[in-house]
Amino acid sequence: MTTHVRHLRGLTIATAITLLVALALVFFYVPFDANQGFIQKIFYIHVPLAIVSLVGYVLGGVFAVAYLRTGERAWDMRSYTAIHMALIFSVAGLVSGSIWAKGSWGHWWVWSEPTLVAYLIVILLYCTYQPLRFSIEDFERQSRYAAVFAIVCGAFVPINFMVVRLSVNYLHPHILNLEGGNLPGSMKLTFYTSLLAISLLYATLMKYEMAAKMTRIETRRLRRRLLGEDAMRPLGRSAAPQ
Amino acid sequence: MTVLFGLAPALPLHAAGKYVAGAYVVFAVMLVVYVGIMTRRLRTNQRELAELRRLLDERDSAAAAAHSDASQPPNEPEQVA
Repeated sequence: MTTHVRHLRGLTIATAITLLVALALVFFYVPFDANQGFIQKIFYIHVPLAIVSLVGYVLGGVFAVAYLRTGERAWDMRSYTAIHMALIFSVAGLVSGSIWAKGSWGHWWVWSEPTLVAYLIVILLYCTYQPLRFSIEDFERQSRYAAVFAIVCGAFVPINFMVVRLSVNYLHPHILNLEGGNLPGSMKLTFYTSLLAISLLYATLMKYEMAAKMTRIETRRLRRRLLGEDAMRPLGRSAAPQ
Repeated sequence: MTVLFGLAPALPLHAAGKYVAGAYVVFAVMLVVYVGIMTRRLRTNQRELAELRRLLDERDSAAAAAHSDASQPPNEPEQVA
């Protein structure tokens, strides 16, 4: 068993259980919000998705630093996968937030709202990550340039977040703060369980993605050893690390 | 913020239900699509591995046959009566 698939089964089971517990808490335990009522239940999926995606982007930057320091391809793969998964989580967070906005504010999107626009800027920024990689044919250069991009953008994410927090005119609720937020106990428990579930889901999917990519690379290596270089199909241009 | 939500009363359950369902269904659909893509990739990998295993077996059996041919003594010429 390789390092990529170690603990995968345990992690998958833990994720499934935590997700089920979180859903049960959301729909059967936590009371309706006094102001928003039933629609506030979107909060328990939207906010964890947004937080985990932002952390994922920063993680991609951290892995990129490790790649530039060590030169090991595995770090580039981790950085790529972290950003790839964070982008998927971002889209889910964006869509769920948009649905919540339509229900609460009557609009799918509010352009004057700094929180929404700042989050969209981050997503659009990271949408250029894959095309950037794809545009560079040489894999060594591709990894290096992508690492620089991941570090710079990874540093931009918390700055962007802080700027939005310092903004005063916003519609978007800011419930969490460094003092633990102003959620009542049952909501806090449900929210943190959801956050844990989404974080575990992120880690599990990232590990699956890594395992699939590493297996693909190892299969290719085996084929080369077995059949020789002549039997190999030439490697096409790809955004993913090879 | 509180004033804004105070002015906008909470949506009744039958009106809010579709939004809550929509948000959770979008998440579930994305998860299912992603797992589906992963399953397809896994199947492709398994097919490739099976092919490599078959090629390796063929190569091993061919090598074993060549080895046994080489280790057997050459046939003695038939005696003519």
